[in-house]
Amino acid sequence: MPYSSPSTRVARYVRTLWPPTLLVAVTLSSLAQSATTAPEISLADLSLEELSDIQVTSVSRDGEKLSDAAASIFVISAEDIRRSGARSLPEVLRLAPNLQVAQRDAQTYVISARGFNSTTANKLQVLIDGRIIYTPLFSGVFWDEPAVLLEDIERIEVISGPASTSWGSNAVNGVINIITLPSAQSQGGLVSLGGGNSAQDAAYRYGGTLDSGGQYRAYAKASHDNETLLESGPGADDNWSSSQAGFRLDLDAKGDLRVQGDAYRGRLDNADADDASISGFNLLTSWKPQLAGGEQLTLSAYLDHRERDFPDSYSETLDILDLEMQHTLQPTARQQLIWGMGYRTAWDEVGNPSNLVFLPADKRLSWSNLFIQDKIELNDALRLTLAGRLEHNSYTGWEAMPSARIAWLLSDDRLLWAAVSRAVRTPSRLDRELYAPADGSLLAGGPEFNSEILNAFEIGYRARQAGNLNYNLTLFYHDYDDIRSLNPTPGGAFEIGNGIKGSIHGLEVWGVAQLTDNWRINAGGLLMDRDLEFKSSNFMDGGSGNDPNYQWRIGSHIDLANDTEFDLNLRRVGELSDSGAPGYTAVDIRLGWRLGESTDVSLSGFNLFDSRHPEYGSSASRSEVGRNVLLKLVHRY
Amino acid sequence: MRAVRILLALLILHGSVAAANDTSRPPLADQVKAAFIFKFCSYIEWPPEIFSTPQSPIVIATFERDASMAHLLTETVRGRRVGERPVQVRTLSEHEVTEGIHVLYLGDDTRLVRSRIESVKGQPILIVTDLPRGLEFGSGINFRREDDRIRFDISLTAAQSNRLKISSRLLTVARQIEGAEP
Repeated sequence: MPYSSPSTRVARYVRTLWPPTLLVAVTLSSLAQSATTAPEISLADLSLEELSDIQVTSVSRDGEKLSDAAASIFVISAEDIRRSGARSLPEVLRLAPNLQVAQRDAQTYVISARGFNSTTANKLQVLIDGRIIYTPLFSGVFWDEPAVLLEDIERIEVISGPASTSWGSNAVNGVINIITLPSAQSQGGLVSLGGGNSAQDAAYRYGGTLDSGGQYRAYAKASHDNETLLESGPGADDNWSSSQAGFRLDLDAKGDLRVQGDAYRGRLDNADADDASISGFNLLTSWKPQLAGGEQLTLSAYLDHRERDFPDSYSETLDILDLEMQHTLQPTARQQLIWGMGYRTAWDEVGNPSNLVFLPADKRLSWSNLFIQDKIELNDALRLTLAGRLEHNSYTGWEAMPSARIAWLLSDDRLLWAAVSRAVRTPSRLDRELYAPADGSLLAGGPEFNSEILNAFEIGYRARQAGNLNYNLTLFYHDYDDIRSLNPTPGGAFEIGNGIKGSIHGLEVWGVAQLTDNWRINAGGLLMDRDLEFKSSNFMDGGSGNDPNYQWRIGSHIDLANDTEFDLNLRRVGELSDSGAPGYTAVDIRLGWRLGESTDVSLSGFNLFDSRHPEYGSSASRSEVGRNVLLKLVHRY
Repeated sequence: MRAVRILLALLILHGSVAAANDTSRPPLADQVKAAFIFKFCSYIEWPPEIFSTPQSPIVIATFERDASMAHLLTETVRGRRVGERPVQVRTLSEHEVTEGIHVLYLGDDTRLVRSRIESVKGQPILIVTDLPRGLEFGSGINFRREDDRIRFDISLTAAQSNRLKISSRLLTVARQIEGAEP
């Protein structure tokens, strides 16, 4: 190959810098060249049916065009989910190279983007079909609550970097946007059964068409996760059982009308104490009327009720009402304007059975927002997006979140983008109202605790080559101020304050290559440096979390003959900061068989070459993730 | 900074790889779409008066922004006929009027789709789009990707208002059909 010598030279250079992922990206690009000499068939000679049956899987993920979004977006497709063998939402999120995902025990995951990962990680916004699922208790997600039926997910968009102009405060370091299939695309019955040494799952879904013309689906699922083992040896008393049911209705009512809801419950089997439990339900409706002239309007509303009861620790009852509208219009031929507003209110009641208390126990919080975004085509190649959001919260009043993004289409297949944005993480109940014990003699919430602030600078490059290699690079520099700290008081206690500043910067890389018609490889990695400092030498850390300074993953997906699939995933996570957890490497393998038109069977092995490893937490309390095997059957009719 | 060095290394590398890349083939999905567009011509009945002779060509047009599709279409129709009619491909500039064409591929640019569909309304032209909600804009046939396959939806309403007849053979292959049968 004519270019092999420079490429080898650079490959060697890259290898000395930082080996695996990038090396793979490099090798892929050369392999992709040689592996695709297709036989000359003329498609125009095929019948309509034959044309309809050609599998056109391509590397390009969101449609055929290279995305012109000026942001670091990774999309997990339904096919990615299926071929990962993953059985829960947090496990699926491991597929995103721009997320840090770690399991602490059978029920607890810690997930963040671009750092600050902890069990109370608070800089990631997560939505399911537009419903915000984090709790105002600590501005983070209890990952044991959102149990989506994985077969009904259309795609998951993972944006790393601030996106609070569109998605609200708390979209500081990233957004996870989980989008489920419209009912029309989930018709018929589906039975999914899975079982293995560490977990068992069963799910059923049925979708149909109403006489009036709309479509619906309803589902129910149940899961059990066996007790894990603590690193120190004994069982962790964390047998976890959960069940969930829900529905979705898509109607045509002078536009698209969607109504959907879920109800769930979960129980943690505490061998020594009373069982802990969670439960909740939600109901969402959204209407997009048909408008003329390119206008779009979306009105949505939802109710969300959640309960958590952890005896001797805490309990919480939370009710949320959320109303939103968004209007898109095209004021000139080269501009797209989106504006909207929203109101959200939460009634939060905490029971305080332990020495760790929230005061006042009951609190009503509300948020109002107004945002506007203008996407301007400066010329055929340059797109400038200016956006701003004003949000009012119960603690700090008005907050401003502006951003400017520019995308430069170098060619149809290459895009360079840059963004400057400001995001804030507004206070949660935990920052202002946590006391230990109730008189605050050890720890007291900060009455003056202010929003944490991020000013972010990003540059990204996205390209597609030869229709069979796609890759994406993002360089980010996050400048933080007023990050949560514990500040000593004259009385010898600590008060929650804003005493940490500093930066996190790094590089996100991912790519996917279609090596042959039936072999696809994807790889991704993250390099990250944390550089945080206390504003005063006697301050202490307020939960800034533990982050690896690198992680990478490689996935290989081969379609063998006879409807057999072979998938291999290899991932490496570096040691976590501040003795969080040692680094580890995990290898997952999946074999899938298609039995006829409607039945799929798969056998997956997770963490195959490592009997057990910890992923997060202090060595005294963390569980280890073991070697797991799962047999799964999915039948559609 | 380590990250910057790696980014630079990769950008350099990209140059060297891209240089070796000119002979690549277009995405399969686009090839399938081009083949479909050609095949559609056999199942559409235009008002007979718009053709001067039985040998007058069928003209498929795209806009400059879809130059790669125009190229693929040209390759696809080369030397082929629909009945007695040869098939031609024409590329339009942005403000060119749509005269003497029979099929117009508008791709996935919402703005272009919206403005052009309006401007050809009532003319006997089959509009083909590639948008999630293409039919709502007034398109006649809209491509959809389903299960990694290229499928299409048909709007009988749009076809009728543009005085086109669509054969039932094509309707049987469509994913969804919008509008009542005549």
